[in-house]
Amino acid sequence: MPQTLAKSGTPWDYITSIHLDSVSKSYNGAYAVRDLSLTIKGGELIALIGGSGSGKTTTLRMINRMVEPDAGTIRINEIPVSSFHLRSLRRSIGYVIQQIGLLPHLSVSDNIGLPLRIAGVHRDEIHRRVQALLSLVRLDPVVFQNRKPAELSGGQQQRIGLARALITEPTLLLMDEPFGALDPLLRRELQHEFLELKKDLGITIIFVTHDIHEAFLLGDRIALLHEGRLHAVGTVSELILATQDDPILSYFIGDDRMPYIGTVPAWNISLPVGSFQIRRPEPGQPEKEAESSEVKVIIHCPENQQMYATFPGKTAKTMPVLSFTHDTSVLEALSAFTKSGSNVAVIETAESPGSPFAVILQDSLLRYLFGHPS
Amino acid sequence: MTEMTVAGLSAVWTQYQLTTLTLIHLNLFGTAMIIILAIGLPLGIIAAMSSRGYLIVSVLNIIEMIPDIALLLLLIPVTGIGAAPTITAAVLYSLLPVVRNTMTGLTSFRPELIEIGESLGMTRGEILRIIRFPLSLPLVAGGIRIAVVYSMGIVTLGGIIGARGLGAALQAGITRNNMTLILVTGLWIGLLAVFMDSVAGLCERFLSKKYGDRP
Repeated sequence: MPQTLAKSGTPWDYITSIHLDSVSKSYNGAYAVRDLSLTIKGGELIALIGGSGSGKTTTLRMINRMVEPDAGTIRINEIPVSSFHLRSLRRSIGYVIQQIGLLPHLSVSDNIGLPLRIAGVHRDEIHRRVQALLSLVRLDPVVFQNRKPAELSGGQQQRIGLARALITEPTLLLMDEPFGALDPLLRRELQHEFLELKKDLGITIIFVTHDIHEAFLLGDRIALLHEGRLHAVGTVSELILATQDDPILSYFIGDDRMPYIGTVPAWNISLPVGSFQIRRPEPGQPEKEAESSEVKVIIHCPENQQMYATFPGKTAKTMPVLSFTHDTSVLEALSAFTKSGSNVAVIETAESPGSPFAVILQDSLLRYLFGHPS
Repeated sequence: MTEMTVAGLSAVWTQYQLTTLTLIHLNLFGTAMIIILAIGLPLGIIAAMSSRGYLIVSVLNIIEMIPDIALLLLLIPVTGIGAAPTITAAVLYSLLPVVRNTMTGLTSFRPELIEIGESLGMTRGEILRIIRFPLSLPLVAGGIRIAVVYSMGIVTLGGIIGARGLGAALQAGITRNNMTLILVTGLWIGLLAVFMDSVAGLCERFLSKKYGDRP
């Protein structure tokens, strides 16, 4: 996992792990976070998802000690955060919030450079890094550096907020619903830009959201918080699989907000190796019930079109469950199929014979099919 | 009654030494304003930073309730007559808008601005200097503008307790039933007050534009 080397003065060079051990926090006797334990691996993006009041923001804010837990410990690289110097801890962690919090009286470049200014970095160096960060968040430095926040759109402001969080080259980034206040189109645009950026940064990111699509799109793993407790944690596919036996998870994932998760049990299969077909339903014809001797995979598209692949002679029970592919030819073929008008796609897989894989349950495929900008 | 001609007005201006009295008036006003700012701004900051800040404002509120002329007369046993009670009354009377606006300015802002300041590891002093104080300036300027108007009024009133200034000329006009003197002085004081208020208003607008937090 690539790690950004930190500057001297930061308490760590890179993140190897973050442990939350039985952390609790209550306000006026009511628990916001209750006995929450979670391990975050260095370099991953973990999405904390949950309903309103589930404790996700409190959990996030305990990591940079904006909130102190009542019980339990949080360790970064095995060292309790309470033993770090507060200023040095916070200055080593990037922090992005939905409200952005740009200082209205400072220009864009002064806002981005603020963390360096209070750290006493020389003006020329600040200027150089601000220019680089503006380019990184896709804003033309010449056009934007002297503007005031009031002269920016919501999306531009959030880009500045991100640039400000990244200017100290933090190895840990905390993000609290950063795209939550943006309109859906812009949110999608920024999510995809952020995905690209995330690849280059290679840092550990903890991302709070209430949007399951966002969590699935961005998260390497997703942690579902419910009533202050950690309810479930796993990759996209692990969580989708677990929805069958878990009403709370199912509520978050399995309802109509997730158009591409249709008949969950049918996904509990692996596709055979070799060549297989995916077929769109004939127009005007009702969906034919799968024969008992067939396994049917249904893919629900965002446009509500259904596609399914059938595999005669195979049943879910006889097929091994859950094995993943990174076979890009399959991804590309499926992607082309979703965009094409044709009814049948024949997909060749380069997997070696005998090694089954589950296309639908594979995280990057979900992203590829439904999250990729068209 | 002196004739209301240019020559007549000029004669009144010279006879009653209105130029000198204007300078004395502005001197009283300037001194009062300097003291108001020197005391009011720190007091406003203390009121904003302390949990008992409201006590300072409460005391100033009580002072504000005393009619200005009564406050002037009440001060005579303490400070004697002349400039001292006038300046003291102007200061006491004008502190409230400065202190209250400074306190309000320093405490009313979008909470996320402080959250970001804290997340960057800023100290309380840095947050005050970089975030709270600049953002409070439009409100502080509004308070100072009110103080300017109050002080001009009280300095004028000071004329009746021997502080001289233009209030003394006004009082002379009343005692001698000299309508020309009353009109010339009254209008001149009015003009001065409007001018001072406009200058303060310009400052306020400038600061609002530069530091105002518009959504």
